[in-house]
Amino acid sequence: MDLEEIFIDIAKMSDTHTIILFDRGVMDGSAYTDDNVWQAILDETGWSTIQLRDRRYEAVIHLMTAAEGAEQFYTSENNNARYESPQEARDIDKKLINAWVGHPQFNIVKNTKKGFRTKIDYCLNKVLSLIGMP
Amino acid sequence: MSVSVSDIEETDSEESSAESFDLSEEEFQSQRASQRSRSLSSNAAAEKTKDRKPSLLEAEATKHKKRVEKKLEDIKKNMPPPAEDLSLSRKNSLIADQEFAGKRIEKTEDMPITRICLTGGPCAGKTTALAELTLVLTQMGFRVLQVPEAATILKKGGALITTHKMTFTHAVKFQINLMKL
Repeated sequence: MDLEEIFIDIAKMSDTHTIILFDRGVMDGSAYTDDNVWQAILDETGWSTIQLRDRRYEAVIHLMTAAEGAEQFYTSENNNARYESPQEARDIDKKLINAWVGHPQFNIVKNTKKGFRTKIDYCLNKVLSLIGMP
Repeated sequence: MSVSVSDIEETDSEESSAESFDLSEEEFQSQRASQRSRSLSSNAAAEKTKDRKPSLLEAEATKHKKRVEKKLEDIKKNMPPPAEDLSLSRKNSLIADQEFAGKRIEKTEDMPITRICLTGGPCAGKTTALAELTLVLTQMGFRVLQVPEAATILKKGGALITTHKMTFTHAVKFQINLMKL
């Protein structure tokens, strides 16, 4: 969260409209920890789900794992942080959606037969409409 | 009247020219005043007006002189200071700079900030989406900042990030630190 705050402070000094893109958000932690660990974190820190989920980002865009709908493209070769089997990937994907459901501007981008480019374009159009661009 | 005055000599000449202009104005004014009083005075009060005439003129002349003096002072104030007196102009520019800086801070405070969180399961295209969004939004004239993933930073530093393999206490501690980052 400190890193996020630093970037927000930098954005405040900007003289143009600034868009901050967060590579994952604080609620992702709940998808990567066991439920009892997550509850202990909330108890220990006093953070609330509402605070962590709804107040930190204007919009949340969830890109669905390739393991769900684009199985042939699922690979963990370019993942430098974690390794998950396709089933684990699907489980984490579901847990991530559960973590963010309830955010006032939560968007899920699924894999379609139209391909990866369509997925990226959908994501782009979503952001453009969020910032009031046609 | 010229505006750019570089030395004191020129300033003096300007003053004198202003005075000569002042005198001609005074003459003109007094003439007009006498004309006015003459036309206004009736036959019966002709002598009285004659007696009052000089004092009236004097009062008007001093008034006018004061007005001209004030005008001259104003002109002097508006004139750029001589070369030696740089301290004043520097001071003024400093105040102007401060005012400008203040305005700029106000302006930037009004600039909108949009925070967008990109998340998703493993191998979903987040990195590609981030790069694409940054490229397009930057081309549109927005300033784009990217906050790197905290877990990746720790992993790059050799930290174990799979909390499932830790003891309960360690997992809680680790995850809290990860979120604080």
